[in-house]
Amino acid sequence: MDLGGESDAIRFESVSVLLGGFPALLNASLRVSHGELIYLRGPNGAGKTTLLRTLAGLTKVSRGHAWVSGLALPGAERALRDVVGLVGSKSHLYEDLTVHENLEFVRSILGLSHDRTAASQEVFGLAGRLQRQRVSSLSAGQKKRVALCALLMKNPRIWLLDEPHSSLDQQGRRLLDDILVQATSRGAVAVVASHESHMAGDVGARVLELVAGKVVDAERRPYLPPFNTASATESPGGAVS
Amino acid sequence: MISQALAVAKKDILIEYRAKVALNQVIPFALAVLLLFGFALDTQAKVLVEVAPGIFWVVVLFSSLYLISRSMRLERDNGAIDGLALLGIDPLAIFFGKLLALFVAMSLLEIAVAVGILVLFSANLGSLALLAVSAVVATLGICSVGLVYGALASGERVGESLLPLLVLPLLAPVLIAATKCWSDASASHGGIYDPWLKLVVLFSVVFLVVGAVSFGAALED
Repeated sequence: MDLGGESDAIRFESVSVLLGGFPALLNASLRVSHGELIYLRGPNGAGKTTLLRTLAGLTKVSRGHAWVSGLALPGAERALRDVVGLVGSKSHLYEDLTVHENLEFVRSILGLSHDRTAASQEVFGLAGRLQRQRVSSLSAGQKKRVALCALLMKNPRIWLLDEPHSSLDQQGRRLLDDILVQATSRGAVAVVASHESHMAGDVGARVLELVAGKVVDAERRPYLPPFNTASATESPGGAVS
Repeated sequence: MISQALAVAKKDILIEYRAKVALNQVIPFALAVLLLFGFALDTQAKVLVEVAPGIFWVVVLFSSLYLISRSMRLERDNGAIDGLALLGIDPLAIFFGKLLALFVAMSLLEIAVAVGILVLFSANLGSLALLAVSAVVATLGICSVGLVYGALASGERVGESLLPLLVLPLLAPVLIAATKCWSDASASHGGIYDPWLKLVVLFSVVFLVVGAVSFGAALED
């Protein structure tokens, strides 16, 4: 039995993920230790969301081998979902239910105590009047807070966040960073896909870059010249229009 | 698993209570179709009485497609289905929870259509025991098949139009047997040992078991 992933919290060996035949991840290799906070950056379409969904067991590994929290992929996707939490571009919330009803549903499925739910709501400022509001009437930032609150209630071993700072106010961003630092200091792993990786230094995160489906250590990434707008408007004859 | 299934059912019923799709859209649609059948077949009262059982189940079946489609669309909106998966919920709990909620909505629909049939078509009910048992069992079969194919179809961009094509052919035996049950009940020569009821039970049990087993795979697709 291959226990290659036991010592690392996350280990990818030449992992490829095909989405409808397109390689969203291509021979990606990655090692993340327990207690690490990772900032993942890369241009649109580089594969950040696919990597997060693969780590969550929601998208299958097509080629290669991966271990997440000791669970081998492909194969252990369902077991993996018990130990990871993901807040992505979609909120996973029910629009016709109130904030309280959404979180109560999460609580009842996870079998948590009411105290833990109340404490998580308090952290994200969701106690009080906001609880009785339907999710459909919330702002994008408030929805993000509800989704993050559900993640905090689960308190997973692997935290996966896709652009978590978008639509959060300054106080919300600081709060989220504090929570991630606390979680990783207790041994959890957090992988944050973000275009705001300049904030990574503030929280002591390691920055990885995804380029065309491959993971590149940000410190060693090849120099990419800025997009030349002149060449885009160049006429076939070579003259700039 | 039971507590998770009940939580899913409670959540779906609460959403339906808030949105009132069954009450404000599906039931009026069913009654409108009933009315159209009434106009189209308006020859003799005797004809309407004779075709009432078949029309009941056709109207229920077509209207149920909206409820089934909505039941699964709830989980696709906002990626809620991923949220359920990440809560580690057993697919069986999702299946039975959604089955229960859909069964409640379908029962309301059937009661409304039955009242409409009695008023507009002067239908004869006959043996209430046979009618009630066949309706409950047939509804379970319709919900089971609907949920599995609803899960498959909701993942597709053309899911809404695909669902009837997948579901209706499979449910034809249930439709026929349940219609015959009503005919036997109204003729007062059917009891709960009616042979058509046995057929409804057989198909519904098969659909329930196959549905429960395959729902998880359908969700993953």
